[in-house]
Amino acid sequence: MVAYLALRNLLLQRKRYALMAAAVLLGFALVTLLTASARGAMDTVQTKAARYFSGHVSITGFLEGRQQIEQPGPVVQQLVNSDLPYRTVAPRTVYYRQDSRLFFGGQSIRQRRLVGADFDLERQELGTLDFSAGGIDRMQGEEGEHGVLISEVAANLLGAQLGDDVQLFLTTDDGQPNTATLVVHGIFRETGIFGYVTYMRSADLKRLLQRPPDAATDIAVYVRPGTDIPAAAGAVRRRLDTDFRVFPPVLRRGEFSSVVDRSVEEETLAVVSVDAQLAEIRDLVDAFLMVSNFVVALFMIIVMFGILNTYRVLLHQRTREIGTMRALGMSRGGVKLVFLLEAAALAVIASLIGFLLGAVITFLVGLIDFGTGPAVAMFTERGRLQFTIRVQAVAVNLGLMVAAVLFAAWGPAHRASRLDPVEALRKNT
Amino acid sequence: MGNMTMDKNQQKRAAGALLAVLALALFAGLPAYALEAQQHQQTLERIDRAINILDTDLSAEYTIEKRDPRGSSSTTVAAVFRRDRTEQFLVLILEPAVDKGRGYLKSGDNIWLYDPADRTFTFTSARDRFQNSSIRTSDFERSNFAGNYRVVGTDSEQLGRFDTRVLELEATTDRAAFPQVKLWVSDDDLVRKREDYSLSGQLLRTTAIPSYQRVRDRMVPAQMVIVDHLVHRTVEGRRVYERTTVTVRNPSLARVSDAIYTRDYLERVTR
Repeated sequence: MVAYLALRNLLLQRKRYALMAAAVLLGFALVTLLTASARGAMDTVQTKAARYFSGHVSITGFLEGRQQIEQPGPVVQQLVNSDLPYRTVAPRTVYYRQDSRLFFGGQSIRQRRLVGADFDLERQELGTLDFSAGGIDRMQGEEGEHGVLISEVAANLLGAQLGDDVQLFLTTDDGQPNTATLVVHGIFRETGIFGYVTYMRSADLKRLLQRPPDAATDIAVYVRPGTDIPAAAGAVRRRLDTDFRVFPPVLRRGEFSSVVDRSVEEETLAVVSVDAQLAEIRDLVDAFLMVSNFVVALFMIIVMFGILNTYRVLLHQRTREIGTMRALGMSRGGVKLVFLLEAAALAVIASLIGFLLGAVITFLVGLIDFGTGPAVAMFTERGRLQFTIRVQAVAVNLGLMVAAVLFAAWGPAHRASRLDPVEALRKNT
Repeated sequence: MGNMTMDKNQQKRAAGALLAVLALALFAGLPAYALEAQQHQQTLERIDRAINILDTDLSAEYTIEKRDPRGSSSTTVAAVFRRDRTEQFLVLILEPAVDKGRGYLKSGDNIWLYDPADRTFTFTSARDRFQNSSIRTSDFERSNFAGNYRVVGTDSEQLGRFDTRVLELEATTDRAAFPQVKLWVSDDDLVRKREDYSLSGQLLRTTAIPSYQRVRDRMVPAQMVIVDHLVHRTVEGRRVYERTTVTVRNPSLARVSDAIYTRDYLERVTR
């Protein structure tokens, strides 16, 4: 009965509530846009970083100054047999020295990282690269032998195209120069810190580096969407700790050198989450989120004051109505509940419409091509901002919005419930 | 049956004789092999002696002209100081103006790169490219073919007006700048041509030293031409390589101050 009254009043008073509804609606649309874009940007960076840093959780082995896992098989097996929320587990050989170069057409370009991958195992992950020519299919099977995937930045500088033979120069662990002629099987769009990377077959890279065919430098663990990555890294570490020597947790990239002793005399594994690798970028996104949360909080305060004032006016205008309700036997609590339910219903309906508006705006913003400039490209996929709308986040935002509205309506509703019915019925308004 | 026994005895004798011949060949061949290896080692030591200057310093002005396959060229002028006895060198860039004051200092096992713009020293490797040219930092180091390589093949070849021995070398230590090297050496033990290969056997660069200049009783290269086989492009069906020409001017064997080979000197000289 109280709920019915509240909804009926809301409909009858819709013109009076219109301004409040508009404020809540716009506020929620803004909240949706900000949280979805910040979360989407972070997800985009994480996807790119996972390809670059060997998975959402990377496992690296160290022994006497060398970065190597001599027998990655048992480590992989340990993870595959676990109940961890992994999607892909794949050994990699990464060339970490900064002296590798690609040569073609009289030009050369230094590569920040050479990644030797198993393209059969990492097909799903590396398949998300944005190829402007060729693709990952060419890297699989025998066709992929002596193949290479290079970034568009490198391809443009070298003037190399799909099918061209490029020369790769690197140095072995003993410091000896080595070279190989590789065929360009794919050119991908990637700029910024993830741009100067070359992907090739792990077997080819190990041969060039004169490393054992079974060895790896890293094991890339990709987790399923929505997984808490730092928690997954902790679980991986605890799982490996039972059978292997493992370094203490590395929570930020900056801590790496203090936690990981590269000169250990027995092979020891370091488990690092992509979040730890991206601590600085996460700080940036968190700062953006903080600013956006501040804006949202400010907006909510304005909305609250708006509701407070509107409700005061509304109650003044509806004094006789309150008196009638009380005269008909409605308790003080019932009167308060009617007004609070009106406010809650207003907040829920306006927020849901605001959410839909926010979703439409994110969709439209997602159509804009922001280009491939280094600053923008890190947070965009194929030049476009990605948006992640999580039910949990929407529920939290909705809860906050309803709470704010109820908080603002509480005082006037309480005062309304305290009105004397006789006095209220005498009022002319 | 008797014939069969005789056959077996004959077989045994034949086998014994064969073993004796093999043993003889082995014992005769081993010293020959050892002698050959020793001769090769001596050849490499002579080459090192012909290039290295152990009793004093070498200072000279190097003009390095790089022409890339696209036709653009750049010139670097550097003052070079070498003290082979203590395996030290200092290379100070004089031109172009934008790089003036940059310096490469070898002191002990370290090679430092000094950047006057921010007054910082960073480690560099002997295998790094010098000023992004085909020259490696190791090219300024004391020659040590005898210590870093062994001869795995020899030949002889007419190289222009020079009768040369061709030595194929293989690195024996990690200190060697290249895992495989081929040298063309004239009768006076001077290297006239050199090819450097990667581990996979790919030719990385060719260095020709057509002329040496006499400084007192020592021979110092007058000009070197380096062809970088990694940096090339095809123009009208012909491969054009990056070519670096090094001209060595004003060589001097006068002893220089010890202070030259210090980080302080690099910092002071650019102030």
